Amino acid sequence: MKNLSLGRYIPNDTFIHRLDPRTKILAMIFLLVIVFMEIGFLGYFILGIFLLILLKVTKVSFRTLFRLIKNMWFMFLFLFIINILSFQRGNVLLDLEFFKIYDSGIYQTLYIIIRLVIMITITTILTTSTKPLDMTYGLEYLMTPLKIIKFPTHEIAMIISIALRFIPTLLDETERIMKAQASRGSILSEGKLKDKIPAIISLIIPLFFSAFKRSDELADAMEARGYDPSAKRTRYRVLKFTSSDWLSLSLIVVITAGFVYLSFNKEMIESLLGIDLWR
Amino acid sequence: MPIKFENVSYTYLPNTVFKTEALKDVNCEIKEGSFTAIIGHTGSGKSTLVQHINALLLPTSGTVFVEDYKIFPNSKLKQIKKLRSKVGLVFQFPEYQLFEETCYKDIAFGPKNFGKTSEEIDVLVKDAAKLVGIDEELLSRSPFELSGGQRRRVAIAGILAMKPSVLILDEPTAGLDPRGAREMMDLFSRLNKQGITVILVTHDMDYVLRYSELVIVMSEGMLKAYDTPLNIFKNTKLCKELNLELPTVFSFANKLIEKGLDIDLGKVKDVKTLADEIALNKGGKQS
Repeated sequence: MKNLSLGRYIPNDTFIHRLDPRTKILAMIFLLVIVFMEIGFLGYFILGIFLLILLKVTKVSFRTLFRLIKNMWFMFLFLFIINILSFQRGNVLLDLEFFKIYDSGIYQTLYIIIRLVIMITITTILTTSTKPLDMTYGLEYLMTPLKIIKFPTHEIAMIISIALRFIPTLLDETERIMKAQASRGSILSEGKLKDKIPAIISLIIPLFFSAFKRSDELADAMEARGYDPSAKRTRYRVLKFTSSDWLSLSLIVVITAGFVYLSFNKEMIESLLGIDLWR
Repeated sequence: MPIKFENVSYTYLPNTVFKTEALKDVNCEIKEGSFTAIIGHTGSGKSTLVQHINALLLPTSGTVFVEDYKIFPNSKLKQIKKLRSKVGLVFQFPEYQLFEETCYKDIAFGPKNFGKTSEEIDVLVKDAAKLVGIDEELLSRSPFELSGGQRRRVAIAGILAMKPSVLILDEPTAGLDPRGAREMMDLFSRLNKQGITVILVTHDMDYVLRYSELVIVMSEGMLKAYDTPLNIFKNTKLCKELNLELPTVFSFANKLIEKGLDIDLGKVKDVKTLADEIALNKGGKQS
């Protein structure tokens, strides 16, 4: 279970940790919007440097992030192959008798990989610096306008917080059942897929069984205490916007505006800097 | 099959912010055919300790010897897989590990994994079911239809069917009714008399006094004491320090001694032996 520390909340006391979860969620949305704009390699370079600074401030170790990204090598390879096969325009880089490799395929793959890496970085910064519960409170608050269209914001937030609450419990349970089955000679980590199937079944069935039992008990316990989702309730921890939240949000808005400007005026900036941003 | 711990330490999630030292330099030897109890508070390292015996956990440093098997930090799974058929580990609430369509198949899971033929498996399953008191007609039923107590028996049969020579039990009676619990403990005691080494992790001091020959006391990942139950419970300082509850009959006998009865604490194991001692004092008959 060692890999599970990846992307998990790491208690610390940094500027980013202290920010209001709502600020962080909004900032993440802005940054994700930037990732999907056409900002060219220059834009990604600038965004990358900004994120490196954020990582440094949040004290996320680069090793942790690298391990997260490393696990995706297969997906990157797959994307690369698909793109090379499907992009058949632009300049020919390599001409094999039966098919040609074009530069646009390579560029496209690079783009997607850069976007994925940046997205992972952004979400890692959010999840390592924000307690899961704070995150749900933040989400619930940000979703309040949706109440007008009868969107069950409180219920959704409750579902998310219960789900988050049970992740460690279920992981413990998984580990326990894996160990119990390993004691009976079933080994998940080695052998052919054919031999692994009974081992996987021996893990999944007990896990489902206990998860259903747990949810049943939890529902009963909540009802026994008179839980009513539509009841009006106050909050023990009240989220508060501070000056650093306003500052951070303004900074993010300015940055986003800058990138919007960049993406709409690429040609002008290209000619100004005298470099080819591509596309 | 003697079991020996040599300078065993274990750290959960080393090199991260979440690291915890669960075992610190444990040394001890558990004799073949003995009945050993392991006691200590929640989080004292009992479960971590026993999971080293069938190599579910590999020590961070030090070595565990089980028969000819050597378990050290870099042990390879291939070399120790066979060990798991010899050391049966019954986890707490083992009924949660049942998954097959029928009880028969579930009990057969262990022997099958260790490459037994179907004829051998048939004998092993029926023997194990008989040992734990599960009727043969129940074997064709789904384990999910049975009651909690019956499911626990089926799960334990699944371990016994591997014919282990060491049986490790983690709180095997938790949540059972008193009669079921007593039957279960009597079964383990019988298996021990047949030569199986039994290691019992428990919070129930009455069982410790009644069944075990030796007691390992764990606290904060360290082995605090390794002695007979009598010596452990007589050691008031240790019991105070670690907040150990005394067995009911033992504290009752202590009170009787305070009131002037001459009782041999070494002979007090359960209600019957305590009654014998009282009767002896009063000139009555011993049963």
